Amino acid sequence: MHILKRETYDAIVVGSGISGGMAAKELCEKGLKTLVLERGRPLTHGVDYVTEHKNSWEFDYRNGGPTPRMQEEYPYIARTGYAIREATEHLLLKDADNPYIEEKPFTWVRGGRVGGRSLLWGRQCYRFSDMDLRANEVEGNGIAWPITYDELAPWYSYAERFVGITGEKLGLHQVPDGEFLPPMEMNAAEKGLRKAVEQTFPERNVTIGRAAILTENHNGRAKCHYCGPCIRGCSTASYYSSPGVALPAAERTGNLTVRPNSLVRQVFYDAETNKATGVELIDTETMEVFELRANLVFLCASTLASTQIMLNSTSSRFPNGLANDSGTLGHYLMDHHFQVGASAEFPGKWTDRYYQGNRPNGLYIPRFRNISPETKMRDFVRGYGFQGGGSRPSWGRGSRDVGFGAEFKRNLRNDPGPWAINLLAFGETLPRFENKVTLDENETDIYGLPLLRISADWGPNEFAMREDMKNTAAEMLEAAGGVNIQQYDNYTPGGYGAEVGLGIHEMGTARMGKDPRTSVLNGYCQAHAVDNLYVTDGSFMTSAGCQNPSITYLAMTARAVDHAVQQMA
Amino acid sequence: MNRRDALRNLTAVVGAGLALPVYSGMLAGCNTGPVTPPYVPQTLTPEQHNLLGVLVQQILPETETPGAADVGVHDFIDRLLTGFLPDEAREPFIAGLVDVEDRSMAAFGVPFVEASGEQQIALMTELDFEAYPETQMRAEMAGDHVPDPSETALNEQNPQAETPESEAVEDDASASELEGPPFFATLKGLTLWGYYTSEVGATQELQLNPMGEFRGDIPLSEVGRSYA
Repeated sequence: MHILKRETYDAIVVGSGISGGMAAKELCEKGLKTLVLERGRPLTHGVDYVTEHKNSWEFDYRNGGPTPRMQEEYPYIARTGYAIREATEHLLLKDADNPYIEEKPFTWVRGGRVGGRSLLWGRQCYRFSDMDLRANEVEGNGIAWPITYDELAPWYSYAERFVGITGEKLGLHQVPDGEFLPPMEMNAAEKGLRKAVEQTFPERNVTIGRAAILTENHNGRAKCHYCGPCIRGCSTASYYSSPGVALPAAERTGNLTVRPNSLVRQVFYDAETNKATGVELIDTETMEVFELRANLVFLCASTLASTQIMLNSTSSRFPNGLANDSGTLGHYLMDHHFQVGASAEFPGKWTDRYYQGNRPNGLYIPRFRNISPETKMRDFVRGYGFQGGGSRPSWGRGSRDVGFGAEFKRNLRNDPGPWAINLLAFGETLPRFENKVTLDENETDIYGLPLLRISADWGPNEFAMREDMKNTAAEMLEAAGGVNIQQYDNYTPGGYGAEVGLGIHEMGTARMGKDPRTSVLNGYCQAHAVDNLYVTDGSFMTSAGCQNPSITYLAMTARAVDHAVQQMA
Repeated sequence: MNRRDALRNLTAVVGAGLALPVYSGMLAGCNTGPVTPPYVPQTLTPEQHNLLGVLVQQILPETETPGAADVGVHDFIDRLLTGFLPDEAREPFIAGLVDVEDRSMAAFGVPFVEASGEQQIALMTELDFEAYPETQMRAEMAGDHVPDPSETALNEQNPQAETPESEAVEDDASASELEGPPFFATLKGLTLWGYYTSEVGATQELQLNPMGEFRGDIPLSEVGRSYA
């Protein structure tokens, strides 16, 4: 599977993550000989999830946090606080070898294996709504999306049926229902919160997360076995990943070739035919450089990496980057702003209730601001949702207060402690020209690719929204009877804590639009200026919504392949 | 990394118990290999290592299940000090151990490991309440019983254990508040983390949350005891 079988392919897909996996599967199933290039190391599904079911005591440092060495080697990823651990290091890209320039604080988390971040993702899947796709146009912030919800909805269904999404139908306009497998159960605290919130705030809903995790067997994959740490990889492919689901489907067609250790530096362009003709890659092991040809190029390298490749693909026709007639390539960088919300404890409530199994999913509170005339906010546009969950602290509470000795130990054994609920907001950010990436004019990485310079920060709309997020989180926890309510906002001006990128939902630097003068791609993720070039990772996003974006990438990717193949016919 | 970051990281580690239970798997193999030779501390002196062993065992003693030192939590903490905790955390931790020894000598006239169990508990109770000043304040306001050093073995055993020492202790406490988590809070956090993520702590004392099915809302009595 990892050997170059042909020099020329029908299609080249750059990247093997969420978007690349789906692109490969769709292209292969439509009969195209497809080459997937992945800059990360090879990965054999199942076999290489070497920490999957390891117990805490089998790790040198009990998987407790980044070691000093990891903090040196993964300085960006370490800022997440959770992503780089003994259990996950083998799946990540080493930051120290792959630097970028932060004009302003920005955290870029990158996968290091075939499958990219589809192995590491949070698995939450929420459809964008008609409201999201029209917001730019209605308000005049950013440009209009060139696609409507009605056009996209069948592709959501198509992707959801393939992926397998657990969730509860609510009939909400702002987060439309999808094709759901049975929902996971809430625990006692979450049920308590749901009841209280829906009584106190009729326009708000508390539901279980919609996630790409199987709650029943699906398309030959086993349902979730609730071991808990999905981020280590799943040998039963019970959560959706490219190596577990999409790439095997592509492989079954006999049309797939995957080449790992293959960093694409540029896309070749031929002015005479006005086509992309292939790519230049460097083998990250041998440092050999290859030129590969294809009739169709799909960039799915992740938002910033695809944009970096396009900016680096210059020609006399495109001196500012491939397909960049508009000058918008690299601009309008977005993420979801988060690390803001509230937590509370519920001593004395639901003390006789517990749970069994490690549910890899939490609760979700869909957007409830600016969804109707009655919910219109004066100081910000757009909205946010909450993710979170209820839990009992078990022994973790033992070091929060005085006490030690035999009785203390027995108490921690017999009483899992008071329920607590955390509500973490994910908010929409506005597309702004000044939030951007460019190529550094002097410095390159060890592979010869100019370093990316990243400059992005939140604006007044996001800051106003953050105030509201803290307050609504607290008022809902209070309504449920919470005490010790702690509101938090980890943003620090010019510093880290809630910087752009930390949400790992970077989007928008090759946006789609109706007008080639203000956008890079059309509504099919096809470059306005180069009709055999498609970009189907987060860079196509015209606005950010507040929903976790991967299911939108999957739907748009499938739709883009369908379009591309029709165009070739 | 500056000192504040280092201390924040340490706090994050100590607080890691909240996040850890969800990561417990259950494909535990039984370790029935040959008996391993005694652990040789790499960062602590043998005396500090012994002292740490007594402290962790007093925090989580043997009950129906083994205690913290029984499962090598003091070895684990030495390994953390050697290769896991930031440099900036090592020095205050060792200073905390030295302080325990100094207090024991001042109060009882003997090293901590040679003090009686009652004396050890008295000194640790004092450290514990110093480490959680808010708890002490809350308890006093509520009229709860707060251990008074004059009631404890600390002064009974060595009546001339003098006020200057107590004042020095208060100065230390306020200094450590500025600089990072108090020693005893750190010690307790690391002890709990080491014990409840050990095989004995996670499977005999507590239990692993089993994989298989998920049931979100069941009686605690059906589960029996806390998940590790």
